[in-house]
Amino acid sequence: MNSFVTALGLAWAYLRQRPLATLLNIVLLGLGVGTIIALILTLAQAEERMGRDSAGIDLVIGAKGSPLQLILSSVFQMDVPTGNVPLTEAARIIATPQVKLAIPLALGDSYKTFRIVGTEASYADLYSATLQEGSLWTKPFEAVVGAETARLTGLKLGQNFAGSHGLGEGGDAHADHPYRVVGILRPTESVVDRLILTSVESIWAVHNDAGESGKAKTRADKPKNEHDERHHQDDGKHSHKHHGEDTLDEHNHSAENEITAYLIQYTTPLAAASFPRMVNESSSMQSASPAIEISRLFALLGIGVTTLKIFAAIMMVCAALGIFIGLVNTLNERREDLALLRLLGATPATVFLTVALQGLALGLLGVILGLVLGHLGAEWMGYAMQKTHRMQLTGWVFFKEEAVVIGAAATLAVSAALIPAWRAYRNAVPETLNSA
Amino acid sequence: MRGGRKFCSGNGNTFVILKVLIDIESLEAGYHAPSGKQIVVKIDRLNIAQGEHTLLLGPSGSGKTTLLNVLSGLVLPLNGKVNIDGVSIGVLSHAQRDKFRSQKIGLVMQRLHLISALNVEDNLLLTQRLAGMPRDVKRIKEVLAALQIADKAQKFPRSLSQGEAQRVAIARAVLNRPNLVLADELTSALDDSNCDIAIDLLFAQAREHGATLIVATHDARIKSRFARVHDLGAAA
Repeated sequence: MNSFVTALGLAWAYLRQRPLATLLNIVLLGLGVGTIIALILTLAQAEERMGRDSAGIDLVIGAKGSPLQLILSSVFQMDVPTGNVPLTEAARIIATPQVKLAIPLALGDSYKTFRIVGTEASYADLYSATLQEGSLWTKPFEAVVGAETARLTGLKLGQNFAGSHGLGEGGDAHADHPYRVVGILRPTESVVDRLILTSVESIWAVHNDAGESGKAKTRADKPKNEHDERHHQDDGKHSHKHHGEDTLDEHNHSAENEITAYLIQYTTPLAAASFPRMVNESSSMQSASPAIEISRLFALLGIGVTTLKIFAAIMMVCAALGIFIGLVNTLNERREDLALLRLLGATPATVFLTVALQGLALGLLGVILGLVLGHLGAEWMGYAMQKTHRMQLTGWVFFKEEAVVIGAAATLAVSAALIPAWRAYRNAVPETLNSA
Repeated sequence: MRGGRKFCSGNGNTFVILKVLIDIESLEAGYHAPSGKQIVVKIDRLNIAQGEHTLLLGPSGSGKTTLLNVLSGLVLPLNGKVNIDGVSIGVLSHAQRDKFRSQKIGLVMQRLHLISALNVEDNLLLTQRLAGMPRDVKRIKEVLAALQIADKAQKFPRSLSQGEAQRVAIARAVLNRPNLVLADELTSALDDSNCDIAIDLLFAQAREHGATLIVATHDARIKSRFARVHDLGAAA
């Protein structure tokens, strides 16, 4: 124990003797560790959040298009919808005993980029959203505001606001159809926090009166399967008139109401075997499973994530190499020091520890810096994305995967010090002192 | 009676009975080479009494340093026996020799090796610590003051002049109150006046701490300062 303290003090003195090299090693290791930590935090929170947002949803049905887009738009409220489907057709499909719960979603409008979702109370129940104040909507144009939406827009109970067309900023305001805030939800840590909920009828009313035959505008704006068109709509710059002209031919025969998607809960898991196929084959709609699409999404992201992780790992290996080279170099300068230590009564083990602890100290300091950088980085990203992104990201959480990174970095740093430490251990004292 | 040979010195009626500090018998020391043992120094018999400061004189390669290494327990003799203060160096384990050296022997090396990363005071604290002695800052201040370098306590070795560094090395050698102080080529790099100062300091410190000095050198300038000179060149 005594010799450990001695070695630790010496190791620290030696590190302080070369402050720049020490700093370089720590920063290099810290950057590598920090990158991986930030990645872990982002991915784990995204996964956690997506799991929470899609919990209880077995299937989503909506207009044909990309299934991933359908899931992103209707479950995570991230992408633009694939389009709308006639209400009657959707009603026919969900009227089967295999469907326990079907939550309608009518999308297409927003308020200051916060999406207005026409739905039913069951949608709030799905996320166990409870009211902070006020009540749920009972009539058209009554709106319930999610916690984040309320915080960021400043909407208050009883306040009126006008939704705007499209999901981006700068869409035409539906000024003639103002909503009134009747309720504000408690935070749920789910997608609902950043939404404005109202009845499906509100959405229909806005668009019917606007001369759009009860279509939530999405479908017309975005022709099926044409991804190029998506941004077009997302920037919300389309005027209603233009919009109406686009859809003129559909205009006449589609006087019926439309819906963007249904979130489905099965009565039995067995439904997964037949129900999706039935939807895809016997209707103009498509079905998409959140579980399958999320895993597909992460498989796609995986390439980028793997690249970043390899990059970070290379940085960590470089840091370890830096520690190794630094220790070997200084070992030659400090040969006499180490021999002198032995002369003064230090055991070879103490000399070994003096060198090995330098590696360990660099490793630990690098890891601490990496943890700080990674968590601050994630928090900063979360802050920067707060306005634009639909996902809340914070740096103030810890995941057990981080322990693996910490362990790996520390092991790397210590193993980099092992060979120099062994050479110090074997350093022949009389020869060193006499070769002067 | 082992180690019991008595020296009588002094003048007139005053007799001081001196203990044998170093007792060497049929010593062969050197190193192991691939071709076999290489004997560098050979001593049939050498006794040095406590307080009997001795100069080991000889040209380069005559085995001065090898002998010092044996005396300090850094290397084991190839043959023969070496007793220091009644302890046979050859039978001690590696760790025991390290401990013995750190507590009983002060060393001043030719190049004044200090731990470069530590300041003077920390170097001396480390010397206490590695010898298993209690931490004693007062003692450090005292020794530094005796060598007139008390103001250098917080300085790093790099910023010391050669003379100052040498004093620190002497301070370190006597810090743990050793019985024996071994010095290797202490003066060969110094000019005459610094040479005198170094020797004076070393003698003063040895007297103060009751330590016996053994100085190995090829520097004949300091021969006159020693009561006893053992010429290795002649012995070999």
